Amino acid sequence: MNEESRLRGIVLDVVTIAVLALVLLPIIWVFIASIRPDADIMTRSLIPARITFDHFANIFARADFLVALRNSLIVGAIVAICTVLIAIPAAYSLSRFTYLGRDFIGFLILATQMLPAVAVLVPIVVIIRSLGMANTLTALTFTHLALGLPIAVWMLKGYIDAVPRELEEASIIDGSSQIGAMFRITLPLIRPAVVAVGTFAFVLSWGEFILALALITSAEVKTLPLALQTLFDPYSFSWGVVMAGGVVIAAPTIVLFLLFRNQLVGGLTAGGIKG
Amino acid sequence: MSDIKVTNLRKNFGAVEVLKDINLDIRSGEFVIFVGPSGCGKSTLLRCISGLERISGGALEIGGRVVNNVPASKRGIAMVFQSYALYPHMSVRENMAYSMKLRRAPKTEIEVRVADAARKLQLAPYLDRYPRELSGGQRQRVAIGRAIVRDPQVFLFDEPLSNLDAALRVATRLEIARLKESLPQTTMVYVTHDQVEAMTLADRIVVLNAGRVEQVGTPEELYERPQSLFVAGFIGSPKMNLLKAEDGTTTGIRPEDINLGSGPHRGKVAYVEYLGADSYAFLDIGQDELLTVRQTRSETPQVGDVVSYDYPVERVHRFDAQGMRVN
Ligand SMILES: Nc1ncnc2c1ncn2[C@@H]1O[C@H](COP(=O)(O)OP(=O)(O)OP(=O)(O)O)[C@@H](O)[C@H]1O
Ligand SMILES: [Mg+2]
Repeated sequence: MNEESRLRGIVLDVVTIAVLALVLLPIIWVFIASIRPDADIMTRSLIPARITFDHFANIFARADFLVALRNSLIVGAIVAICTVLIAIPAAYSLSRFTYLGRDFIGFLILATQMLPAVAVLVPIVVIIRSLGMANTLTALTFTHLALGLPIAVWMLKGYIDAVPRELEEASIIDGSSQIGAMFRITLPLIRPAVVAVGTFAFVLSWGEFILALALITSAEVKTLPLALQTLFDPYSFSWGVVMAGGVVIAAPTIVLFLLFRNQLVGGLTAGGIKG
Repeated sequence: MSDIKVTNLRKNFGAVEVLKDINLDIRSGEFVIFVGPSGCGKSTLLRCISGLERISGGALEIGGRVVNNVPASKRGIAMVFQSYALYPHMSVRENMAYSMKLRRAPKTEIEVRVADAARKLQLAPYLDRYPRELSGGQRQRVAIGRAIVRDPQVFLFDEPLSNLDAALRVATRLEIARLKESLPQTTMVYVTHDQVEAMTLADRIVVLNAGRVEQVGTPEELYERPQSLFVAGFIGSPKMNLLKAEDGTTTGIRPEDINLGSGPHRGKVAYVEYLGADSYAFLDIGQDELLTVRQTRSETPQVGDVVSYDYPVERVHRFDAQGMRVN
């Protein structure tokens, strides 16, 4: 290695660390603030002098927060499962079959992503209100599904495209049906992508705020991001509790990532399919 | 019984007719090889037989049964793909057992058959490896093993050796020849670009050209009596010398049938290719193309020599202006 490339390596390392710090610092700060007594939160030091779990005890003692947690879990899980169940056949069909209008359908699915989410917000809210479905978790589930599905379909299509057709043909010659080949050959090969798509859909629904805000007003169907907002209570406001709420919202994303780390990273570096 | 009968088979991709009126009779237990230039439809014909492609017209029978509408999975065939198409997420053992598992064969029978095929192909030490952990030649043998385990009526190969290096290709070719001996009941259809593979392995060769069958015959028939100019030029390496006359007819003579040293004809040696056991001399005889002469090592002429040559008249192939054989 020569001087120049070593210098470049060092510069790149420094930039990476700086960017990481910039991204991670607020998150670390939230986490630390959530285990500090309120009096200490505004101190400059990042190292907590006193540790308390009162904020968490506090937040989990609130009925409205627990309801919101339950709602978010239900909506997120259903959205994740349905996204996977719908996106797999959709992506498979777009990738493997030829039929009239296939490419146009593929384009339409992609085209939905060209509009910013806020642009479709108003029509969606109007439609759901006029269906009388405002303030229901069902409505929220459907809108979240619609939000995530297009990307999910295209992500999976990319992975299915990368699985050589000959593998399925070999399976068909070995005696399976086309659907059997999909289940026995293609799906196992794209499993990391399926896990990634499910995780993505869950995280998307879990953290979604604007649609929830527009569709939901009554307390018993609020989701976590909305509940977090109600923590800014003008009479008994505590930064510590808000931070604890933030940690609770961030937790599943981190847990999911740790749980499926191998799958997700495997999905990002998916080789090993060819040959 | 596993004879294959192809009658007036046609295959279109959209508006393009890729196979035109193909008629073939492949006997039970026969080893038939499809050869032809790239894009002539060899793979497509093989895939039509396998059932991976639907045929657009005509009839296809396997073992006396019309299989036009029988799916690939029910045709009793096995296929070895050019890319091997091994299942990456399964071990060698699982790859080979896959078809029997689909058939819900008893576990013990699966084990016996896999072990049998593995022994035949010297794959026993690799049964628990994954395809990515194998060399190209080993992958190829697994692909063949996977096909053997199925105990198919018909065995299809699409250029199975083309991804192997020269030495491995020779070794695997011998293995396929042995495989053919050990499965005398199984009909085999094999696609290749390689002349040597075709000549050494085939009971009969089918020469395809632009979606049509040019000629069907034993390697000897094709070599000794090509029925058309196309076959004459395609079979044999180095190529047959084809000398065009004024009236559009063509005279063909194989490079090894020309004797240098004496005779009524004369040519100047333009260059010489030395191959060890023999060598090719290219003579300028005042035509567009050089005349190729195959010589044994001891008789190699020098570049620039003017030599006389002759050929036995009974070794000459004559073709009319339409390119069809006349003698
Ligand atoms: N799925 C397809 N759709 C459209 N055209 C196709 C398709 N498959 C093959 N073709 C065309 O059919 C013709 C024959 O193809 P095929 O693969 O059978 O040739 P081949 O003889 O096997 O050639 P090679 O020796 O290069 O493998 C080619 O012109 C090819 O472009
Ligand atoms: Mg081919």
